[in-house]
Amino acid sequence: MERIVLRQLDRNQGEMLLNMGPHHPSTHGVINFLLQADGEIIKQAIPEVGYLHRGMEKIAEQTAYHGYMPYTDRVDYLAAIFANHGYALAVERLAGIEVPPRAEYLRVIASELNRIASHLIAVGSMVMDLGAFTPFLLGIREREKLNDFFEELVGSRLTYNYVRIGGVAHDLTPGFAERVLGFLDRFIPFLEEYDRLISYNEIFVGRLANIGVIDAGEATAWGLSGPNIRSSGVSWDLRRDDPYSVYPDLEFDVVVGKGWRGVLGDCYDRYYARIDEMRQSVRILRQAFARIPEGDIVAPKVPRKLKPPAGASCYAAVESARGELGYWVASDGTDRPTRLKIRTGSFTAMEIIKTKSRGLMIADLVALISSLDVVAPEIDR
Amino acid sequence: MTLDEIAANVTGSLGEGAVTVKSDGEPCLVVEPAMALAVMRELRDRPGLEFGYLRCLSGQDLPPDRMAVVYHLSSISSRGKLTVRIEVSRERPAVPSVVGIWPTADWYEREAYDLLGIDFPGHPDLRRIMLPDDWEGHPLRKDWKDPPEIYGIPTTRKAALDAVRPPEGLPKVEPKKEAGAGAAAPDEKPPAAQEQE
Amino acid sequence: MSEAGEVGTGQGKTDSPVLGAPGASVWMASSRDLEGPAGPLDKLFNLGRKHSLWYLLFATACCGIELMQAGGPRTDLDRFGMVFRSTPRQADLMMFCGTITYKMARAARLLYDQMAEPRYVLSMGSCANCGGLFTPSYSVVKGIDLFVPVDVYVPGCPPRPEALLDGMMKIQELILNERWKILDRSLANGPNRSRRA
Repeated sequence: MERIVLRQLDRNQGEMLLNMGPHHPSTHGVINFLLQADGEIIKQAIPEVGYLHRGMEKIAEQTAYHGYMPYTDRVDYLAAIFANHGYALAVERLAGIEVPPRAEYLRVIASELNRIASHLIAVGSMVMDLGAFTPFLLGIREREKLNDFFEELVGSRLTYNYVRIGGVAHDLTPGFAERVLGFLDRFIPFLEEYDRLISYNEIFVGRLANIGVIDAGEATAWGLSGPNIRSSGVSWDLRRDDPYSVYPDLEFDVVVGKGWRGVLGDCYDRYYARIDEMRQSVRILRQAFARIPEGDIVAPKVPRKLKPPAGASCYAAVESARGELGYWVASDGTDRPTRLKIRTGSFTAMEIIKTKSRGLMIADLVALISSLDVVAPEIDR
Repeated sequence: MTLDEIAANVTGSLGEGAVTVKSDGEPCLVVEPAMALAVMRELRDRPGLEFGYLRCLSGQDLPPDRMAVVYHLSSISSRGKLTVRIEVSRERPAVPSVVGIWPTADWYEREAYDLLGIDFPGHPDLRRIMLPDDWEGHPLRKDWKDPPEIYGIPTTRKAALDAVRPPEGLPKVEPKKEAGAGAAAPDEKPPAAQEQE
Repeated sequence: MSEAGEVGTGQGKTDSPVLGAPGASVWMASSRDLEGPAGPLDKLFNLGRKHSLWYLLFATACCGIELMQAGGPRTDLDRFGMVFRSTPRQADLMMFCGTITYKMARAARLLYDQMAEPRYVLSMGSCANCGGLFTPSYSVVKGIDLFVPVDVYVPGCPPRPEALLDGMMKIQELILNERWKILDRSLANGPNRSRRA
């Protein structure tokens, strides 16, 4: 099929066609951008994805329900608990399995710790793409402590495979709660130090404010989710609006963009919303540790060969660090799904770059991509 | 709003037969391809429905003769959820594109075209997205078979493994029989495990 | 796969208009097809080379995050002299971190081809070693040694930063034991054609 997507290059004006990627230090993963640029000014930037397309949806059709959990880790390795959780939610709703309350609280604890870890990388990469190296390493240093917690709880630093159909895999170790609460006590001052280091820096603000403005109508129409849509002023958070797990019992604020330094919906809003979300995650974690009940960590009598009713299907989504991570599972009565569709937040965030990149400088394109917090495996699966 | 109320709203303005309600499996509205655009526009624009947020668009292969496209919609103002399903024939699957209604459907439809081969007339730029442009076939279909070689790279490691012969002196290990291999198989260590050290 | 070769067969020092100084000659490593252990002078040169191993920042998937963490404060790669470069022209070592798909394989091979010799390849993680858990997939290359030559394989999913460091230290061992050979690159013996492997 002819590639008729590119505008006619206006060679008289010196327009050029460049490939930014798939191997590029500033794209978040292996993504290619076809840039039609007049020098630095972009006329059109078309994202080309698929360099990490691993066929996860096809593999799901060949793997049993329980056995697919490690694959969900790799859908978004920075927010692996959310991916696990979404899949478990979808299968549990499909098969009618009820999760015990202690397991729900453990899922929330792991999720919010993972949200902090993921946002640390997100804002760290953002500042590194704009040229500041120290905040990134500070974020990595804190993330190492979180990696230690996850290693203690789950056994792995990155791809956790923690959630099981019907519960979770491991219980809290003795002293875990005290250690995490101690970390959280030191984390809030760390965030303030981070703010003093970079968030109020004039160059940083100048590079992000009023760039890549996405208004509320566009954000909804283009299907953005998570911090991206909330920074544009739309108050939509799946933990409150499509509730699951024990989030209805926990108190937290939904962080909506305010135009902190520029127009509402610019890159700075998307950056600062993530910093504020980390503060809210700390709040949720403290409540979860205070309220976690005793009990089982996995539902009794979950069959080994899980066979949901034939013809049934179910869509379930969780509020991941990058947006809505949803799974649509369709069953045909066997112990393998007949169709699994994974819906990720980065997919729609990548789509919007084509319309938003007109008129930007190439350096601003880097700021836009990193503020949308895209990771390649979420887009390509 | 319940599913029946939504269906009543839509049939009220577009006439009977615009949608049917499917309550078993996953409750959803089933729409014919010919009425798809009108129904979708109604779902997005009608006050009271206002499903302006397309959460997910999936294709599904239903051999031997059907394919389906499933839409998951949400309303941000009323927090309602809705599932819409369109079924087409597997011979020449074609579902009208909803890019004009929800711009986010652009890449979702490209993905359904790429992996399943569903055509979306009305889409401005329907071409492959996940797989390379010169890929042949649609892998998510149930009748997909891997070719032996892609771009000169073999698709299995069999050749590489055959080239590495196992060291001499290891006794052969018989493969376990399939039937009765669950709880009834005797727990025996293969002899190679002890001799390899 | 032997990478280096010789240009010209003259022994001893001759005038080299390329370098300008009389009596100068250029040494070039020819490591993998020479028999015998490395002598002390070889090791002296290799000591300098192995403590300044610049790697290409090539990360595809999850292993890329562990690569980043390996460069972080706890497992510090910088103290070994290993800094990351974004362009293959400035890199000695290419680490394939993450799953490689057929679409990416062509681009990855281009990156490998651009590296100047002597160059080393480290395969990090199960996906790069053999396809890993994505072996049933239609779009994943079942191991990078199907299209590039590999020196060290680091197993893990993902390997811990310490495991990656261990793999890089094995590359350092390989470098330490390379042998050098005197070559004559003066133009008196005919034109020096640079090879592009």
